[in-house]
Amino acid sequence: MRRAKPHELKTPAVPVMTARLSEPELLKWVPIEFDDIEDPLATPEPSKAALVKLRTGKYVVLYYGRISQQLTVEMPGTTRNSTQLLADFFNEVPLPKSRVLWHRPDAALPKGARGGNRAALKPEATQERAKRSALRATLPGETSKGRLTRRRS
Amino acid sequence: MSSKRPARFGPFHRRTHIDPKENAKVATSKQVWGRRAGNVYAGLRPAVKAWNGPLPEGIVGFEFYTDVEPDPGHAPDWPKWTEGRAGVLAVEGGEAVAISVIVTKRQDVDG
Repeated sequence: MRRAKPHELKTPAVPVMTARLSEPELLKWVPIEFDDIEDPLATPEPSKAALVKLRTGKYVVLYYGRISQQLTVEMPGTTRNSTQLLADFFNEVPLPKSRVLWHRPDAALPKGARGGNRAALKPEATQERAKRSALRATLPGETSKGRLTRRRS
Repeated sequence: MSSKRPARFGPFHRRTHIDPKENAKVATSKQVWGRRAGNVYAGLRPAVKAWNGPLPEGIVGFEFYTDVEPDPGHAPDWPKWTEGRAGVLAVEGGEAVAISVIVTKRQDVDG
């Protein structure tokens, strides 16, 4: 992956997935330069953001909220196959699927525990093998510890 | 839907510790404003963004309801109202947008 320039994506993007992770994990698993967004009218919380071009040539927009510790992955609204886009994303970002909080109903998470860049995962991998529940795939509207109780608007 | 709800959608909230004056502005204008989320990509449009759910105790900010429906397909925790949708008003020459809201709770810095 690489950080892309703003002009490379001219179509609006829509959310495809959210996940919870720490800021050090974000910077390790997505090793690119992020913009800091602090304008309170621009973001609901101080955030990091970047347009990313994956190896497959597809784009994703990443927003990371520093208070909520939630990563929102957005895809161009013109994306025809959101499942394939998520597969491409997980192929480069070793985010454990147990961290996924929500994904679009029409976008399935890829099978398998995690994708590429496995070297970046080594410390966590040992810990996760000891806790099998952490590897459980997450269904829409559920966390690894149970159903979300937050109300949807 | 309960008849006690002051508007069709909510509750939502915004946390305003970075700019606590926003509480008073919103209470007076009855509008919540939003801008583009930085200059991340060219297709980005101005949008009002908020947290889903009521304002937690002890958090500086305000809670609101609105009759303007959030964008379809938004992430569950992160409602937003993007330029061009019904009820989303263009302000500042299109550099920002606003929605009409009913504020139901407000927590200022000094209590």
